[in-house]
Amino acid sequence: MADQQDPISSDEYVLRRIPKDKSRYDPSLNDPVQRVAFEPSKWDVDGISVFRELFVSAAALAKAGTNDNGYCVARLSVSNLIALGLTIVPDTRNDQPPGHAIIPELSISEMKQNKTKCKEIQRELAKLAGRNIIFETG
Amino acid sequence: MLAKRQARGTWSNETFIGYGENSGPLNPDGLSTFIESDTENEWSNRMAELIQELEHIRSFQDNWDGEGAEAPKTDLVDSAVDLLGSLQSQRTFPPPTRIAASPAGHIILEWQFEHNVYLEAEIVEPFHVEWMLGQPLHPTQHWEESWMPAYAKKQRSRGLTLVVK
Repeated sequence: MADQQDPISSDEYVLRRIPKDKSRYDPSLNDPVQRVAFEPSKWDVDGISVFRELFVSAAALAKAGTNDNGYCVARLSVSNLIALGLTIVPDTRNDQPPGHAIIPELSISEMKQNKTKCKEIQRELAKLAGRNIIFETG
Repeated sequence: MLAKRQARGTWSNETFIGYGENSGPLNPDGLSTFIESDTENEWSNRMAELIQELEHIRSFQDNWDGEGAEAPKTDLVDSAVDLLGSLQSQRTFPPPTRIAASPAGHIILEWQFEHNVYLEAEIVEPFHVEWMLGQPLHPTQHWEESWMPAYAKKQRSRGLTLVVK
C-alpha cells in the first residue's frame, strides 16, 4: 500500500486548490485561471501546496479549505510539472489533507529572489490548470 | 483596425504591434495596439465594471482567500484606478480582461489577446508597475515603469514616464 511519504512518481497526478473568486478563476475566459493562483503566500515558506491524487479526492480537498466562496480544483500531471523544471516533495502534515506535497521552486523566498522566473512558471501552471479543472464547489 | 474583440476577454492581435516605430508610450521597446472607435466605447462600457471589481478587491481582508493572501493595500488599489484612467485616456490598450489581487496584496491587470498573447501589469508600489508580456515563440518580457498620477499630470505634462527598463 502506498505511503504518503513515498517519492512521487512521474506518472502521478497532483491536485491544486484554487479559491473560487473571479480574480483567481473565471470560467468565462479563455484562460480561466489567473497566474496568482500559483503564487506563494506568506504561508508558503517551503513552497506552494499540491496534493497527491492517490491520497485525496478533489471533493475532499475542496471541502477541507476555509475560503467562504469555495474552491475549484485543478488536476496536474506530475510529468508536466517536471517538464517545467519543478520538483514535488512529499510533505505530510497533520494540519493538511492527506497527500500534501510542496513545490520548493515556488516558495515565498524564491518568489522574492527570482520573481520574473517564478511568474513565468506560474503562468504556465495557470494555463495547464485552466484546461484541467475537475471539481468546483457548488 | 488593430485590436478587435473576438469573444469575452479576448482581443485579436492580428495587427498587434509589439515592437518598432509604431510602438506605444508604455514601453520604449514598444507594445501598442491601435484601437478602433468601438474600443473607445468598450472602455466607457467596461470602466464602471472595472472600478466595481477594484472596489470589491479593496474590501478583501487578510487571508481573504483562505490560503494566506494579504489584504490588498489601499494605495495600490488607488494606483490601479489611476492607471486605468491613464490607459483609458491614452487608448493604448483595450480594457483589461481581468483584475486580480495577488497573495502579496498587489493589484494585477491582465489582458488576454488572441493567439495566446498575454499581458500583465502588476502594481507593486504606488504608481509603479511591473509588466509581463508573453507571446508564443518569443521569450517572455518583463519591465518596470512608474507613472505620474493624474493629479500631478494636471500640473505637468501627460503620459507615463519610464523609470527602469
